[in-house]
Amino acid sequence: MSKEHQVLVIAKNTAGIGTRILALFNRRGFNVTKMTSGITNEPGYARITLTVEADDRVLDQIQKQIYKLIDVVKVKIFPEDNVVCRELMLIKVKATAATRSQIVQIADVYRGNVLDISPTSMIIEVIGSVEKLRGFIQIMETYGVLEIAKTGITAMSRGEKI
Amino acid sequence: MSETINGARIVLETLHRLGVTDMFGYPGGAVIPIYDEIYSFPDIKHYFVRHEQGAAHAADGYARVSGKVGVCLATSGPGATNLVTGIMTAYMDSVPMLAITGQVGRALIGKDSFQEADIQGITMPITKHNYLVQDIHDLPRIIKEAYFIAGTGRPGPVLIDIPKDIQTTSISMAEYNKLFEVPIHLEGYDPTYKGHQGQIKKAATLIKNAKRPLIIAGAGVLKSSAMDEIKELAEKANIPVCNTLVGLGSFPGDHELALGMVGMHGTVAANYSTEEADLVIAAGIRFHDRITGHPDFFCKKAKIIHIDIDPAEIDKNVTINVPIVGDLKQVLTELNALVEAATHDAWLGQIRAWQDEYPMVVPELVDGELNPQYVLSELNKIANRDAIIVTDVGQHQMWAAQFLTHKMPHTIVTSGGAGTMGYGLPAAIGAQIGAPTKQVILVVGDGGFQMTFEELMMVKQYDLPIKIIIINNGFLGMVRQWQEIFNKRRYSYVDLEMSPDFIKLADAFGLDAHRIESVEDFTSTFTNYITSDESIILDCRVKREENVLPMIPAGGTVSGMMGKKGVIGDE
Repeated sequence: MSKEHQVLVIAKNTAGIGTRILALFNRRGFNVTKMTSGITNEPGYARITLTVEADDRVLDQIQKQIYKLIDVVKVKIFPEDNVVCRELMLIKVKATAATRSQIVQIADVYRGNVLDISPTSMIIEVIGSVEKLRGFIQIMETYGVLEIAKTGITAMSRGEKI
Repeated sequence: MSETINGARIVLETLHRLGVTDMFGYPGGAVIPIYDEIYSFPDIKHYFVRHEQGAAHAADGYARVSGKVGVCLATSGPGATNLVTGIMTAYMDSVPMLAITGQVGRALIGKDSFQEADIQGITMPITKHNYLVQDIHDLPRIIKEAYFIAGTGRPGPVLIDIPKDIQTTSISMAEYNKLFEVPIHLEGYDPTYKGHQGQIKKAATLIKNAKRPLIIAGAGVLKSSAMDEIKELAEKANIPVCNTLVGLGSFPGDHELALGMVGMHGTVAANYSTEEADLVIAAGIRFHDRITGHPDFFCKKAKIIHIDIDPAEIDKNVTINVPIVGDLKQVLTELNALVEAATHDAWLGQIRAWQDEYPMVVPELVDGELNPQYVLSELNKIANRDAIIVTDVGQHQMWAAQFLTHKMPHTIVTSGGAGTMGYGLPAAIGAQIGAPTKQVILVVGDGGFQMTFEELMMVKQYDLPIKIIIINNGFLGMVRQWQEIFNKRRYSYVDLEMSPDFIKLADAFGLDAHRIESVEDFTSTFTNYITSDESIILDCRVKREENVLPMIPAGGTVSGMMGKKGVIGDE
């Protein structure tokens, strides 16, 4: 059965490493829905978190095929019950003088930060799980969502090990 | 002033130190500095192809027969893109190759400059790895790494793109020597050579308990030089062996346990064995669709042990019961120590009955007309035991697989995974250069021959005694066969209504050629031509509409095999 999984890739931060990984997904028909990439505490390495939709067999192939890339140092499928996943979202909603304070109150509940206020709109930053962000968007829809930007999921295993 | 070395010279010096003795290439603006330095490297012989595709295929043929990394060289832009088909061909069959391309100077990259192409981007999906050199100080490391990656683990092509200004930049000789001495360190590349002990024990137990075991030996056996170990396993436990196309020769074709080729055009006995086996030992194969047909029904009564160096091949196409990731030679050596002698008389008897009932048949000759199967079965009688058979792609390729015995390893050079028409002639040239003392025989169709015959010039220039047998049926025969069987004989654009006169063509290249139009002509001349020390082109005019049989239609199953006795519908 096809399910969403987070895949951690640690690679040498060479030119084109992102292209190599995405081109691999493209030509092997793997389904990647989100990709975040950044640096780590060790210089020279990129840490990439992929969100993929795959059954067990495809997931196994994804892991092995990515690892075949020469610049890739580590590939790990995060176990569902032992991972912390976070996503950052910027959301622009319609806000007038009448609704502004209500929206701020709701954002507080979600520990969101107001980043910008204009006479007719607000930008709020929310960080959290996919479900939390979905919940916040749902509520904001009653005020009118103008724009959403999400970073994609970044993830880390619980405990000491990578 | 201390001695210096420029990038171009670093390329050749490093290749020389790595043991490269031959390379195939074509000059161009962005590799002029490298070509300039070639003068000072008498130990590296450069072979001048007439099209860059020829360079890649020649390096491929060279690698397949010699086991060394084949090296090809081309200029930027179109020179580099002309290598692409050859690189992809090598990638599909895991052939170790180093492709070196010139690139426009760094200041011109990304400006759509003259003869600029992003060859690193283009070849990303068809190389094991590739590089664009950005700094002269990286060049020695990159060449060493590329050569190492190409030839180790599961081999494959690696490309290095070198901007022209890097070729002309110099560093001191002392610095180069220091850079060259730095050991290779590839953190993300560590092929597994030693098999898992528990898995090897499990495999041994399965083999012990099997009643109807079967070995499928692929090209991995050749790459790992595990021919003796496969033979030992087969003989010790009396296990019959079939081969994939590119694995032919990894087990002696004339051995009593040999079943010949398996798959779409494999022998009936080999394919029936996959159907009836209760245990399959898949050694160095990748369960290609031309082998398995419908993967859900392949070897469905069998447990499968899969031994391969590439973990990504495990469970890729077919679900495996006992995977063993490792180098075949090492794994089989350990496995053989655990395997007990066994007999499988009933099973081998059954297989022999299939072999007797369904041999490969040469169709009867009618009215003195040659047929292709006859040409190849006669070739089988007179070719040297260790003759290297090079093929192009199509019907003649399958007949060469079926009607030649392939007794020795590294004696078939054929584009299996890619199926690249035009591969044959340049690959034969590379094969002859890689194995100068061996008899090299190219079997080629009249279609594929027309794709790369410009390389005949090399046969003349380097005085290569290659025997070229054109199986000339005036058709793109394999497509015609499919159109006959699946498209109601609608022969859309497969009739080569116009072809050059191959005798005159050969003459233009200064080569000898002879047209064979009848059985009589064939029997009186063929042996002399094939056993001579000179090159020859034989234009064999054969029956036009012969089919390659038996045949399991694409995606089909063994039960759907047609033409088991050599005629469709006559089972």
